[in-house]
Amino acid sequence: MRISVRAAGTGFSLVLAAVGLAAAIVGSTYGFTGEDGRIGPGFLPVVFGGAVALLAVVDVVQRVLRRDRGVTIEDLATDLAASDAEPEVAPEDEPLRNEAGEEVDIFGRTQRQRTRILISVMVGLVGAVLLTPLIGLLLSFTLLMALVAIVLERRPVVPSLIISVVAAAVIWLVFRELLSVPLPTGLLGLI
Amino acid sequence: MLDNLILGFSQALTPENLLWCLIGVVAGTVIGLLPGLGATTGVAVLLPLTFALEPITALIMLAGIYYGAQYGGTITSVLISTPGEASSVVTTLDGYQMARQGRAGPALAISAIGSFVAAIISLALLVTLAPPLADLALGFGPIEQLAIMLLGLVIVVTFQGGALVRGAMMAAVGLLISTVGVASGFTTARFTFGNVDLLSGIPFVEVMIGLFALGEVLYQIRVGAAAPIRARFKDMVIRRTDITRSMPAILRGSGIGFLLGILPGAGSTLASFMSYGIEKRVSKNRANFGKGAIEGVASPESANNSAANANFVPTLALGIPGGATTAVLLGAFTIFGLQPGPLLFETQPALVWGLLVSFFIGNVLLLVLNLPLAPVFAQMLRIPYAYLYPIILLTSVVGAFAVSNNLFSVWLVVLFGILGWILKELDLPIAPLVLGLVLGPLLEKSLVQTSALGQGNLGVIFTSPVAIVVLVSAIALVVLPKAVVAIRPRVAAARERAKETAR
Repeated sequence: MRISVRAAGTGFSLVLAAVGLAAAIVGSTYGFTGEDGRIGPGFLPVVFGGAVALLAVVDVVQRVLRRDRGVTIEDLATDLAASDAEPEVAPEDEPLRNEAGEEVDIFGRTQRQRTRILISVMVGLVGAVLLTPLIGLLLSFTLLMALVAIVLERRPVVPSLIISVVAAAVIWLVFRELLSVPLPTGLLGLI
Repeated sequence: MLDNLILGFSQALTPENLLWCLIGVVAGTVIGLLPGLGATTGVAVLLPLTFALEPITALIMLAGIYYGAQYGGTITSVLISTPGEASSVVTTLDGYQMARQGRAGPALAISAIGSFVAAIISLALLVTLAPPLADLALGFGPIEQLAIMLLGLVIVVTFQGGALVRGAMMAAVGLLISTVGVASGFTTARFTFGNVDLLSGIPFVEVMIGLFALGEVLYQIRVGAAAPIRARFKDMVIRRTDITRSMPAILRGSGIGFLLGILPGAGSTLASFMSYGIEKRVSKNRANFGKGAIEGVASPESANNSAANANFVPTLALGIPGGATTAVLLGAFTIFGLQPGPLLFETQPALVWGLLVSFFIGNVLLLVLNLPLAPVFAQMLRIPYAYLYPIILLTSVVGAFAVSNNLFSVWLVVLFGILGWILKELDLPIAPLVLGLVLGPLLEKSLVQTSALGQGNLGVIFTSPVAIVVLVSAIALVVLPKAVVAIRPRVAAARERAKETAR
């Protein structure tokens, strides 16, 4: 299933509207004004929360009505910079395609493959942070680094391992030794 | 002024500062040219590395990354038509065409020369203008500061491009995030939900690393990679006629860049667009624009460098960041216990002038490095991104941890990284969010003080002529472009009618 940028944008703005509204309501409990009508700690949360909610609603309406472009100074500048004639498209500017006719990048990966890598990296990031209390920050992220290169990006194993270990060693030297940052070693207490 | 410059040179020319300036500009060039890394990301990720350095040395290095990245961004724009920096987007129009015609060398050379000339001109203007502006700003009270911050927010929203509402919405999100924690002058903990880590607010550096480094990496994974055009040493030779032909474009670009860069909130991206557009109107060679005109490279490259330096005028003199990268640098100042703003010139003259003079030195280093070595730097483009981005991920999380020695920071980086990716995918502007986040606490402080001055009545803001002028300019910035667009077709139609009747 493909979600269009417009639909996703509308969804995101709806979430923002809800967050803004909630922030304004919670913010009002902090005290909108203080003594002698001066600004209280809740003033800006209410104002900014309200602004987020209002602007997000306007954005949703604009997206739904497809009237989502205001005119800004940058538009004028872009307008000035725009070419009068369309630049000619050379054959090498044509997107690369694989045998099935799908668009691929220079490593021959399709959009769907790249999206799968992206989701895996996000899951891997959360996993690495969760693993930190057990095996330590450096070890868990070095593991992630090697897994990303070898499993997800399908790079050769030996260079991937060497690069991961060297990068981790440099980071360890700089942060642990040079800057004396107490990198968490986790329950195992390795590095 | 001369005393200050001598003081600056004595600071910037110490072997340690020179070395870190060189490290900064080289790192900046590499960062600028690597896909998915820009000046903001570079400064945010490498900021924790500078904690062991003296503040002046650290700031010299971080600023070196900033303007080094402007040079590096050009190399990718010319060779793979993929700008490393938003401010180099326009350079792809003619730069990439030149590269395809086998003139990558002159394109890179003229942008290095143009950037250098622009840097020197804008630095001269910066050292001339910033101190008097700081003097003037010393007389500003909370009311004037409030007005200037509102102007800064309006500028960033109107100048970031795209829909006005979305820019304003993102600025409001940044401002809202800035209200988390206990604000100065109050005792109430806001939006902390019992979490002790949130009491002092959402930390700035972690948000930057998340939004810019992680968010960009995640975005690039999905975009995929393009193959670079090869640039050789012997291609780097630039003809004298190329230089003389480009000089007017370079000078105009420098001027336009400075004017736009000096506005708090407007950035080098807009400057490069604007100068390219103007050059296309006035250049003798305008017919070739978009087909590989050297002026089309010289002009935006000069403008973005000039604007990058001009950005320091509001940052140093008013304490209001000119753009996203100067916002991170502003964060760096506060981490080192320095409060950027008008007082900085009085309390830390050695630091300010040392930093300003280091810009001169850094730009000389960049010219010397870039003219012969651009093809060497370009080899970096051959490093597979599959190796590069895991390293960026590792550096980002460890760097974030180093800021506060707390795993909470790492979670924040991951969270804001995913948010940054969503914003990029949805084409929502990040710069207003960052400015909102930086300006939020400052805005609240001046607002509280203003409200105290007026005993609860915010109308007191209209008693200050300076504040009124600033606020009127802010309104004009929103209204004027709309008016111009509304009027332009009518003027054109009236001209047509006049022509018709003349016949």
